[in-house]
Amino acid sequence: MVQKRPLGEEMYEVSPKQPRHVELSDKRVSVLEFPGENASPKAHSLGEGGAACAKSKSESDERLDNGNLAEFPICAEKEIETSFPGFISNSSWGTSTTSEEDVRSEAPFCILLSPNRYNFELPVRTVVHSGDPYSSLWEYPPRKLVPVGRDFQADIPEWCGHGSEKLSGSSAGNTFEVLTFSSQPFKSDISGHLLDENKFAGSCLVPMPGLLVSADPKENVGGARLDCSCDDVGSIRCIQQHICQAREKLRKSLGDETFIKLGFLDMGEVVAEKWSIEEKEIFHEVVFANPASLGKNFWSHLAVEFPSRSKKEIVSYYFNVFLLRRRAEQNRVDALDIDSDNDEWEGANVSADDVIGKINGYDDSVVDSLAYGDDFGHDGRYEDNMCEHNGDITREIFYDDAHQNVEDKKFFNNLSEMNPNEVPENCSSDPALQPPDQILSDKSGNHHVQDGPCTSDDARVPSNVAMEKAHDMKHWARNLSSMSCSGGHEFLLEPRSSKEWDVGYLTCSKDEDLLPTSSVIEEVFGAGAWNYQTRDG
Amino acid sequence: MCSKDRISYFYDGDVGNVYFGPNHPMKPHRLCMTHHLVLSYGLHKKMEIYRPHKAYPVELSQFHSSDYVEFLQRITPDTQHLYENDLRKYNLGEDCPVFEDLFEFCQMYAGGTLDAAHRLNFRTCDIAINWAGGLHHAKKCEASGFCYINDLVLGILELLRYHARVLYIDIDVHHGDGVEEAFYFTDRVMTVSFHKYGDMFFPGTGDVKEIGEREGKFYSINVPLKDGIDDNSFTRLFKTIITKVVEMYLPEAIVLQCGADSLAGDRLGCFNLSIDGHAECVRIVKKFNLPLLVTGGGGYTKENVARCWAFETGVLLDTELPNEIPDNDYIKFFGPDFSLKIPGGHIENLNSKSYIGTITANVMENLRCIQHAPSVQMQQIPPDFYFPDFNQDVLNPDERTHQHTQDKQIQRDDEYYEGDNDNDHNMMIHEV
Repeated sequence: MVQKRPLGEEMYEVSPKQPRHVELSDKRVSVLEFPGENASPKAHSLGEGGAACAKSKSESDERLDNGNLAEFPICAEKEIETSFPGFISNSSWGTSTTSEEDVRSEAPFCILLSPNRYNFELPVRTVVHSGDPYSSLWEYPPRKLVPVGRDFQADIPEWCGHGSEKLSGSSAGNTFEVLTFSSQPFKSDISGHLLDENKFAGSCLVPMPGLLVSADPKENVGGARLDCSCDDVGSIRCIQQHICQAREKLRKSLGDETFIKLGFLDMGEVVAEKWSIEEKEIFHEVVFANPASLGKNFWSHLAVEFPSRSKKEIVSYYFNVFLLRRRAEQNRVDALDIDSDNDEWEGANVSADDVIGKINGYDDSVVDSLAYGDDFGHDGRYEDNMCEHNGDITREIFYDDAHQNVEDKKFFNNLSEMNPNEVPENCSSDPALQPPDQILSDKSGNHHVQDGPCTSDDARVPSNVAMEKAHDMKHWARNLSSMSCSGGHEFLLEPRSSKEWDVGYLTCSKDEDLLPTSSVIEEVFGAGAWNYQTRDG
Repeated sequence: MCSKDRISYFYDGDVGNVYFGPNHPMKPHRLCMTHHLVLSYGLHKKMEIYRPHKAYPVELSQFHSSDYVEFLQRITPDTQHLYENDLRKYNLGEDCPVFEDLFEFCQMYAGGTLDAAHRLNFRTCDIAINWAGGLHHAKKCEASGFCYINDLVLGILELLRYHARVLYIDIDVHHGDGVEEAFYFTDRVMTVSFHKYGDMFFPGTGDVKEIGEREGKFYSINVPLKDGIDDNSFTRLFKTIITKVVEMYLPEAIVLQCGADSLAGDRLGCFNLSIDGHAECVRIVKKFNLPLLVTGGGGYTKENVARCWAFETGVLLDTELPNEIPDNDYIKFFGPDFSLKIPGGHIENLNSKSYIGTITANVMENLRCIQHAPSVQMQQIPPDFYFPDFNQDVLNPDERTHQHTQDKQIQRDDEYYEGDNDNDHNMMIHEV
């Protein structure tokens, strides 16, 4: 079966749709060692396809004359193995005569078909497995044909005879004539239910807006981002404020119930509210410890670590919190080579220095700016109901759009009271935290160097490694036959633009609250597991 | 229909929380990002939003084989090792991995397209959108190319109950093989696919010579393209072909698959379309004012997918969206420029004018062979109603042709003069 992933240049077949690591696909590689000697041609009578077959051959001659259309050999690696829904086409050019010729002149070659779905009335399509090289076939390769047969085409329903213009429906959209339906069994059984919108036409979350509303030119539909009037434009606080405002605006526009039904509680970093701090730390630690680049699959480990969490919850946290913050990091590390779809980026590029920097990279100025009190103006009632926040001293580090303002202030007040030997849980191994020389710049380009045992000297961003890795992954990920597209994101802005910021990384104002660097490194990398006892104290 | 089209938009919040697996390019989270961007732009104020029902297995079996549907329902990542033969049989496990909540995912995206088709059938909306749908590779008895259930086929089958002819248009960078294959024998569905072809590009079908068979002959149109096609070439080609198709075929409903992997910079794609170019196709189709079902499809650079489909939602709503992406929970994904439009790639357009001209000529030639707006045909067509093709070159010009024959003759593009009178450019077309 042809696949979407490109396997490699040496593989002479239609590429699979998805790029994949060759080294990780031993099974796949072995499949591609064509067992030509094992497969025997099973050409059968052409039936009605004979004439078509000849036509196909002449068509290929025409194609050669035109020279415009690319042909290519086809190979279905799956076909070698076991039963497989073989392509059976009455337009196949795979005559027995042809196949014999090919066998004589070419490398391993076979005609395969599915014993399950073989139809003796139809001719068999020749499937050519490439050897090295296959002269005439390579030059004039067969066109992959559309499979036909009862296992491929749909059963077309009868047209009930009602033209679409004859159907009546009220403009309100809720009433319509009862129509006669074809004799499809499930339709006749539940024809009455077809009037039930909820069952077969979706349940309405947002009704059709009135004509007046949609015609209102002043309606700020698709409105651009409002001009920011913050003093610290582009800062973490500024961005978070605007996100929160936008979210609040939507909530008011939609109403609470619709807001929830549309899935807003499951979108964005608010998802982090449903996870405890310990869980977040475990999450990041697991991802760190099992990078995909080393052939590990952190997903299976996550499932083990969080037996009470469904896969959906884990996936939701991964995309809405973890990945989002990593994306912010990418915005800062290398704006020209961002590829958040590259799973390899995460964890693979993190060095000890990176972790140190992330743990210690806090900006005093951001801390102060976060504490702007209750003049935010948003309605806390809804957030109180929705959030699971309990006002605990060990509030989550990650952005909580409901309680950012008040709780930030509370947190930092409490922070100063903490045991200096403790690392605040919030400031622990968050892989999304940035090294200080990244995190500390803002629009004005000012750098706020972190004081303390962990200086910027130690916290270097291995950006070169990151970029190189990203490049490698990107090339690997591309269809090998395609032109090498540019990064596709040739941003005009400098990496350190006004938009770069890290969301949710609370900055610790007191260095003496942090563990020494050596302890951090040991805990994260040396032992391989994060030691909770030391943090809890 | 005027610009006040009623738009129904379908979205299930759970559809974004499935994970195909590490390093798999298909990331349903892109749907979440799209949805959020659509709402952040305030587009919910102009359309109705529905949460689709989860398609029942019996609905899925309207196209797919029952055993395949039953297997999809049953298989889980934990038990798949026990069913290796079946996995191979149904082409599951690699491009189409078995992941947690796989069947529910299929039910959601298929339910969206089915609900969309229902609403169009009942005329409760003019345009229906399901960005989660568009998984056009899935076959009757097996998965393919990241697609497990072919929601498009199911939706079209639903539309066929109340519409005589349905036009399917596919602008995904990959050939819409699943849909073409399903309707290869019928003229009640015309499938038109614009895609990259050659160089071993998946799925391998989609040659211009693929035109359908039996009653469906000439009702499959394929526009195979090479790397790097840009906005101008693509939209011109699209408009030329689609305009002619609609003129000839007179569909009663259109299904448009808007795979975003035809955009520049896609992780798997190799075209060079900007969002403007991609959306121009949506604009062109919308202008026909026919019942329209719009779905997503491919798209493996998720930020661009979200940009594209949010922008196209705006197009369908006749709303021009500002380039600056509004504040929203996922704004980080759109950094560092935070703009809606994406820059074009600097790749060479390998589609020469002559190549495009050849393809266009091929397609037009095939289009001439279909009868103008075929009357609704039931499944079995009596052979004597089957009109032969005409090759004008072999007709004897001295012989009087039947009116019926003359009606079928369509002036060829390579005719030098406008009318039957070859001598005078200015004469009007001679009407018989």
